[in-house]
Amino acid sequence: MIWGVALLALAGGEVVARTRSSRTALLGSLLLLGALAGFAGIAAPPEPTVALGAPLVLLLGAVTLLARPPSWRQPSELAQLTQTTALVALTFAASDLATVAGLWLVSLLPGLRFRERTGVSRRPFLVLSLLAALPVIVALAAPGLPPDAVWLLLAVGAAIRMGVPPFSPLVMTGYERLPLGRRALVAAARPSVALLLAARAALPEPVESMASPLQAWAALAALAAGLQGLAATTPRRSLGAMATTQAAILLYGLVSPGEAGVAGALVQWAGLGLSLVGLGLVVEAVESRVGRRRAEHTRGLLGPAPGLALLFLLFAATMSGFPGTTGFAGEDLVMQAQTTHPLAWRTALLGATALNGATMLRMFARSFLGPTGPEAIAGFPPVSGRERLTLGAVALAVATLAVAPTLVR
Amino acid sequence: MIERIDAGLVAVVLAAPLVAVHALVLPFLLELPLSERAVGRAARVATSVHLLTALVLLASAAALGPATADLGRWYGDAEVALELSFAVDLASAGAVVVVALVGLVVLRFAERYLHGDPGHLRFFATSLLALTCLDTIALAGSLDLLFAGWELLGLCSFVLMAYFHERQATVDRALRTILSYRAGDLGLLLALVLLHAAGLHPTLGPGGEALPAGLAAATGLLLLPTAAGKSGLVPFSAWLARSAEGPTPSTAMFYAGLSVHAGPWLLLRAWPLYADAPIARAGLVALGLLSAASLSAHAATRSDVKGAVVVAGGAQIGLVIAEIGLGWHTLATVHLLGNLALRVAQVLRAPDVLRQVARREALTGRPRALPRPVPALPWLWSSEGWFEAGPRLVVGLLLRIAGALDAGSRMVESWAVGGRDREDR
Repeated sequence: MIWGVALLALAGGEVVARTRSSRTALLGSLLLLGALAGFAGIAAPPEPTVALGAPLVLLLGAVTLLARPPSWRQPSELAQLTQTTALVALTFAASDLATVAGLWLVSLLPGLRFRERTGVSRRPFLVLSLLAALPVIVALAAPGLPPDAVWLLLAVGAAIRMGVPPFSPLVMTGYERLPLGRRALVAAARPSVALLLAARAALPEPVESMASPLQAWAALAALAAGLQGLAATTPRRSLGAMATTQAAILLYGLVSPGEAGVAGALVQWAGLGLSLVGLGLVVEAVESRVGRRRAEHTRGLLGPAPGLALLFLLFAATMSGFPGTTGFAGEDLVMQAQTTHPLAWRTALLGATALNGATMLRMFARSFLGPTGPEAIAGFPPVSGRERLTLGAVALAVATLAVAPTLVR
Repeated sequence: MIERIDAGLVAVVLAAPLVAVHALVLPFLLELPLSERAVGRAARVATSVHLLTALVLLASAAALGPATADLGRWYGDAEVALELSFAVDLASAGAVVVVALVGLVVLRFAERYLHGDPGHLRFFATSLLALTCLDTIALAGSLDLLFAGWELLGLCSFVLMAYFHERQATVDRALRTILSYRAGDLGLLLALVLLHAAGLHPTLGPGGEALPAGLAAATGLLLLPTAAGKSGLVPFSAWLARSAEGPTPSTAMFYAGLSVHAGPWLLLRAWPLYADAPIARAGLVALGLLSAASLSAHAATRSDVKGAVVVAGGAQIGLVIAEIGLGWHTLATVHLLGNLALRVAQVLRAPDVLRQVARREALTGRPRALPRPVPALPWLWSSEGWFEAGPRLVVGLLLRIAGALDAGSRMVESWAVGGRDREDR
């Protein structure tokens, strides 16, 4: 059933890619995602991997599609986003490991549609996909592998796709060079979460035995990515560093033995996804007004765009785990996850979250505070209705999950 | 029955400023901003309800004794969770009354002081949110919950300190302040990690239980940098004088009044946890005395009224912390309240200082010079000199590591894009 829906989603995406008008393509994409939401609500398996997983991914996809300025909506790009969103949503709707892993692999395919342009190479994505897919294919296809090795291979594949250091440079190129809304959506959806959850359910014993090395990797990777954020000088690079830090924290929770880490990772995933897409939309809104080159050096936007500044602060605070946000709940639960080396890894995670907070504040101060150039004030159009709708939807979801973080499960 | 009443009162205390924040921010986001008068009215209603409920809570605590107010569980399960559990006793309810009173007075003052200012709404929304954070710190029944209010208060401080955001120097100073806060807060976080690793979730306030010896000493010592960071004591004292960069009402409310006094409050509430650890108590006394000496000298060098008042207040907070370490808690509480009231009043009167001097001269008929800053001696003691050296060294080291990691990442990125390093515009 779920594979049939996946094929229909791929075919629907192909139809969208062949339309001539961007408006028709957008309508087709939204209809496709709407139909999938209906499927996830009505005909999905009774026990999906994460209850709110598919609806949340579909919401993120729809918001990202709608938020794009009309001139940036090429049918092929909309099709790629729609197919990726649909396939990732289906990984969260499935429940058995083979289906989830299969969908996880297939969801890499729409990325191949991505067209090269000057300075935007396809190579990082290809290398990342290959590196991530290999261990997962070996885990699924190699006969007679011990469960420990299967779990390790799946965890490594999932971590590579999430861009956990030392594989972060491959995703960092995306944050620096791709349209940010798309990059943020791809990073936010994280089918690796569904893969690791399905693997945990299928292979309970290896999780216990392999937890220590995987958690050590995740904790040190989070610290390294957090440190790297200190050196970032542009909003896109800061965002990339923060996202990779969070990916490592997510991995720490997902590979930990016991339930607290998993519960925390799920809350973390939801908060991170929403805030990452929200931040991507805010940065994209600024770039669409002042141009990408100038956006890297624009300061003092609090004056001409106070609403964007407030939303940026809300999303960034969620992403870096400030209290009162979903990120805080997720990080707290992940840090209390069971581990055999409690102090060392938890201290590294603490350092990573503190550094992430510093990066977020520097990023806010750099873009929104400071003296405003007169040209920025004169040329900064007000937030449009489309932007208000999409940012408002993400902010509402962030606020709802902040009040009740456990809704995700 | 008692618990139910207290839970309701605590909920209203916390919600009163928070509802006002939403009432101010939501119309702004919908591009229907409220007039200055409406903002002022909303703040007045919220702070009045806040104060009245705080007084009822104090009366309840005085009449019925200490109680726990449980507002449910924010997240987690039976094993790991954040319970919204608040400790209502005379001290915590009294602290909430102080928060509410200072909030009411200062926000009323700000209505006129910030009249016509473009950041009027931002100031009121942030200050009201900070009041909820301070209530959380005052009433928290656990270190975890206190930490939540503590961190968010730091973020509010950053926004208020960068109020005049068009000046780059102000923004840089606000950023340095919150980074100092976060560096200090690592102590509290590490204490929480230690306690959780030992399977302990201690309660705060009079009902708090003593910890095992080693853990008590570690917890007490780890709370020191956290308190020092928030109160502007050594080695984090450099930000204290810079806090006067913000508007006078925020300086009065937070850096002369409530926020800087959160440090001794944390140490008082957590006292049962480390009371049996002599090394932690000695640490408190040493930190307090060193800070008092350093900040007294620093205050004498200040040439601005607000800066001098705030730093002098910090010196008194140092003494309060030494008193806590010595176990003189009644004296520390009276000292803390007196310092808080005096410094808030002094900062609120600071913009008027020249007129006050002129009026006094007119009354007495004698010219009276303003006190002059002491020029040379205190540099040796000044915290901006010696005590900043350590944090600077650490930050410099971190930035070097960060730079090296980033350079490595860029090399791989350059390889990954095939050397085509131009970006798509």
